[in-house]
Amino acid sequence: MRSRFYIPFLLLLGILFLVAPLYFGGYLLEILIIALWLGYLGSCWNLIGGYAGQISLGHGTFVGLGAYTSTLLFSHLGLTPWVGMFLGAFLAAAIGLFFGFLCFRFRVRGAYFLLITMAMAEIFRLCFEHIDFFGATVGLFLPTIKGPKAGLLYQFEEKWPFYFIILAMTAGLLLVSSIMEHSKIGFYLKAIKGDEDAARCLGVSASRYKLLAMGLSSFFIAFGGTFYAQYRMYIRPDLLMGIHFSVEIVLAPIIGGMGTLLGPVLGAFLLVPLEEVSRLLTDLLKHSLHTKGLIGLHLITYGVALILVVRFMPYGILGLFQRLKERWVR
Amino acid sequence: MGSMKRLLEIDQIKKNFGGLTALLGVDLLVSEGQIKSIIGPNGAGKTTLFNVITGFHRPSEGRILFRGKNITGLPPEKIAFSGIGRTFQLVKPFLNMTPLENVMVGALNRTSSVREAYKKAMNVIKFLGLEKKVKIPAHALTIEDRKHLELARSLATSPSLLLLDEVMAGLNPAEVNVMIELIRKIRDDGVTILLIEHVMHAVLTLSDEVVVVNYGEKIYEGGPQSVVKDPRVIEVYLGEEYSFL
Repeated sequence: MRSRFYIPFLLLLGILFLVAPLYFGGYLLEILIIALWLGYLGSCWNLIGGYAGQISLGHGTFVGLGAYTSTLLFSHLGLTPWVGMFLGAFLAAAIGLFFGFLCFRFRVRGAYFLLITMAMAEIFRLCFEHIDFFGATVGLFLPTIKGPKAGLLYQFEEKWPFYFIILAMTAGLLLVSSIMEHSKIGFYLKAIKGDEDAARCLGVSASRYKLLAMGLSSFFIAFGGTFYAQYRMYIRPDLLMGIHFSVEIVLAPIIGGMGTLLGPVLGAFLLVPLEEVSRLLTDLLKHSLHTKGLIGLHLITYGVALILVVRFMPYGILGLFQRLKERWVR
Repeated sequence: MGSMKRLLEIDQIKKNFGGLTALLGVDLLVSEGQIKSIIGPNGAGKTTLFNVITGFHRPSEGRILFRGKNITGLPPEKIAFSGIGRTFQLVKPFLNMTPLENVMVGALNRTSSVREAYKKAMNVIKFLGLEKKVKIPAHALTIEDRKHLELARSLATSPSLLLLDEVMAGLNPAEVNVMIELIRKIRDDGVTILLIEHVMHAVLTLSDEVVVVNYGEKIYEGGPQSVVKDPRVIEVYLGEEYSFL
């Protein structure tokens, strides 16, 4: 009954997304791409952080590992990032499983899990910033390829191919999430989030299922790193790794609704325009006041908006809808 | 009694937490099909015993046999899979799920198919007469509903032994009677029951056997009629008023 309700809506949304590049170019397409990208990263994070409730503030690590693996393999060995991204994903999953195993084996939960993932993010960022092979703090530029073969090397001169790539990635991940949500895995992850001890007494092997979610999450999110590297043609540790970017990944799911299928994407589509609008307004204000002293004001506006959302919608936008629906049913 | 099959055998279980001894070598035998109650003052070690049986605590000494197999030291999920269900003294509903989904998590213990888990969960819900509650969000349930949900959830794992930790606590006398009927119904359906309880009315009506624990030791084991007349039990737990019963 529920799915019948959703299908026409999803179809319409799909068509809108497919035709969007016909009407939007340049700046607007850029915003769409970034929003989809953050939505994709948020949806990957949602597998462990949202459904299973294990809040990780270290997922930037896996994005960075994806980006660096495919980029280094490409620039040193000429391996196409289309293959390199899978190697990056396997590496990210291996690291994710390693840290996950240590945490879950020794029953590290809640705030302590969060602290360990933060430490992981910083360790990797600092290592990458101090090793010349990884480009250190200068970062890495990707060698540019021109001509008809560029596409085979994940390089495009225009924006629209990137738009369709990230659109397909997001749609694919939402499909994976949706299948998972309605399977035994989804039920078990939600139960672990609800109460781990009670779940174990019902036969849920909590550490095994948390590891599974961690592995999938870090595997898929690494693809987002390769995408960024190919889109920007430049990567730097502090752009993708470390606490700062890890927090940015988590914002979209928090705003949209953690542990909901569409929450992270919805959150990203609110956050990215919000950031752009607050930047525009700051610029306007700056010009009308003839001052230069407003640097960073857009971040303050953005921050205030964020606080308001968290204060009034602690379960995210979709969480709020769900609560209203529940009240209505009763 | 002697012809009944032994379901759970607890053999000289000891448990220390650092210097504190919670259980000083407890023996317990639960036979198939019975309702057995554990009573005793607060801090006597009743819940610790449940935590040891269900694998949350590893016993310092002793062993636990379930259907003749040694389950000492297994993790809680393995013990649940082997057929021991459990409810918590402080109920632990999954507030992020509907009551139906809560029960389905239990049902998934025996199947990987969500569809089958749904059927099983609906059967359990019907069996316990909770059809009206499944649509209420879990966070809006009353204490009684939550206790029933906890019961339904562990029953959905298809246990052969159910450990109930103070399921009557916080219920009014009418609700206690409903719960007594439910527990009897579950036993009649073939599930053996071991309960920790303070509500003596429930203990005396339900139990085939009663065990009294005090300071980590078993001080009495026997029928419910004689427990209220045992001078030691009256002294450490019941108090004078029950001696008139």
